[in-house]
Amino acid sequence: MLFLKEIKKIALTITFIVFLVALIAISASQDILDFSDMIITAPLQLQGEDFGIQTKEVPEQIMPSAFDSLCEEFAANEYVAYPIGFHKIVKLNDNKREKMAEIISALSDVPVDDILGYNTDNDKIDIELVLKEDVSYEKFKTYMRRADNLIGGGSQYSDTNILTFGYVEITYNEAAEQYNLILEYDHFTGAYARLFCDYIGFLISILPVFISITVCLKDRRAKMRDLIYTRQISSFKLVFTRFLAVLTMVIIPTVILAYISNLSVWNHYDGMVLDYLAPLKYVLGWLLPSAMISIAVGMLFTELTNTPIAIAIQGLWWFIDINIGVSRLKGVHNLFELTPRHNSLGNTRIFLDEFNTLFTNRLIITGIAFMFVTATIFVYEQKRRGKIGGYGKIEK
Amino acid sequence: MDNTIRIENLDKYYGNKQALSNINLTVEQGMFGLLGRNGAGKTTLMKILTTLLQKKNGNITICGIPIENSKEIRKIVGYLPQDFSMYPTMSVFEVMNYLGILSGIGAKERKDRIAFLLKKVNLSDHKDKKVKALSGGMKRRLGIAQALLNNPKVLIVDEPTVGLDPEERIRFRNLLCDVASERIVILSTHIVGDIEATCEKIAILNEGSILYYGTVSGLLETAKGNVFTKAVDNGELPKLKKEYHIISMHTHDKKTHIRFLSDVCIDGAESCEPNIEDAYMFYLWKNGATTDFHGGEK
Repeated sequence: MLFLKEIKKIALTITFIVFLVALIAISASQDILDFSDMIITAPLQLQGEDFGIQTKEVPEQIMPSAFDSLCEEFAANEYVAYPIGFHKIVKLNDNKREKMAEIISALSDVPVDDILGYNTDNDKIDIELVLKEDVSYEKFKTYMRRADNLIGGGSQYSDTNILTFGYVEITYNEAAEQYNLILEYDHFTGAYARLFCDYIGFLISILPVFISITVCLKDRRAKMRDLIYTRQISSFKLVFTRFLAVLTMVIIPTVILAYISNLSVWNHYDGMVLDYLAPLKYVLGWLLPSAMISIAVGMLFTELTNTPIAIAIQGLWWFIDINIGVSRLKGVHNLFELTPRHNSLGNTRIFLDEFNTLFTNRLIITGIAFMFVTATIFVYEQKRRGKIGGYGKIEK
Repeated sequence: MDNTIRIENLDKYYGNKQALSNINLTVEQGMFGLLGRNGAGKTTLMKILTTLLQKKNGNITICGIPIENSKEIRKIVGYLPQDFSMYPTMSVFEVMNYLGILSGIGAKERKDRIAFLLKKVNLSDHKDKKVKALSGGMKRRLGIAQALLNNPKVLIVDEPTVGLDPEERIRFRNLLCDVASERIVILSTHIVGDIEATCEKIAILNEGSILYYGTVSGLLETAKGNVFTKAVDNGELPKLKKEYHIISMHTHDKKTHIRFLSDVCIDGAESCEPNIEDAYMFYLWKNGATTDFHGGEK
């Protein structure tokens, strides 16, 4: 009963209406409510058929490309990096530049002085830097790791980013395998649901914080705190019910949009086995933890400070995560990411390879959300008893 | 069943500032008045009794339950704060229903209870009205209704008549007396008239300490023989204001009729029967709680 009352209270707030409008407007603007122009078809083994390109760990391709890139950036002394997700041009000081020259020297057999552009007469010389043929891939990666450390991390030469030098064409067999995975594992609808979650995830990990802040500040603004604090209801029941109510109000419209999006392609797969629960499963598995943490951060910091400071806290986490996410658009995950990315239709092999990491990440985020809700319950009870909050201060 | 509030040696501090000092009170069933100026510590005491504030020292039991057991205390206490409102867009019924749910009252009982209470506070015809559309008096009556939702053994009302017009004030006092027949009601106020009209036992709180604890008649008794009236010329007023504690004055037939406190009778003055306001002012004056109230001029 309380749950329904809280739902109604949320539904009548301007914040919730703005959330709904933003969710629908951004979904529409990103073209994720209609995937009918992205129909997945079986690859045909025709002469000259293009199945696209993919990143792949091919040492013969990665090593010369990465080395050339390093030499170019060294010559300009400008290295592109994303240390915490933000684009950054790094310039090395003389000391680090010399160390970078040592790396290039070790990989090319060109003396360091020559690489640094000096000869005995102190005149600049032109040299050609070519990667040695006898460098093993493992040794090359070790040097690249050192180069990345000199740059400060997040460069193209980090362990994960170096793979981007390995673009290769997709073969028919690989295209066929991808299709079969979509057919047998995703049952088509899963692939679309995943892409929907990728697009909508960045909204679901920030917008709910505004709703939970509104809910928490509402009692204070309405001067109702004393009337509620002195009620029989336990802090656990009240706070947890409010948390569930906000979560429900965030997830229901998201599930509806996920189905609208998914429905747009169902009739294109007549005769195929589709997973009609895929939108629900993906929203609950992929987006629910992000929504939970956003709501929990909002509740905890609002109850703790009686201010909307949670917007800044969640906003900062979200901003950094979104920028870092640029480097894992294809579906590579890490344990503490807020918004998992998978910015491609299908690509099921990567999804399956990364599934354990993604699953663990979602569990961690859910766990943190529950910890924050528990902390909110504790803070709320302390406020009710006047142990923390405004009542501890001198009043008239 | 113990139908008493017992407060023993209660202290409360806000940082280094002592808000309540060695409070000892026993409050029994019926209306109990807590009188004191703004800032005397009344609201602090009310908030401690409703578990909204922590005490520093002392013991409090409400109907036999220690104040530390906030869960049980919340079941038996109803509270009308001094400064409160409700969700403005909810109707009278909705807000009562919501607070009833928070009080753990079942659906059927809640519906009956709300209907009963709204009738009692004369708001039945306004149950669909939004809270934001209520007048100050109606909001106060709704405040009492919500405080009685859980049929509390103890009702605590903090400055309930502030801002009400005389008619609403009388109606509110009568309402309080009505509900006090079956429970403890603590009425905290700085308006002496509220106490006079409703309470038999009172306490006077001043700067965090109890100045007086007893019956209204006992308080009146202490002031007997110390309240006088006199008709004076306007020219005499400045001198009298300096020498005596004037409680009230009004002009009639070119003379100013003053009512004042004094240990001894002066020429031309007549001793009169003290009312509770006289007694309250006398008690403050005798205990050094106030020195200057020269006819309202400080």
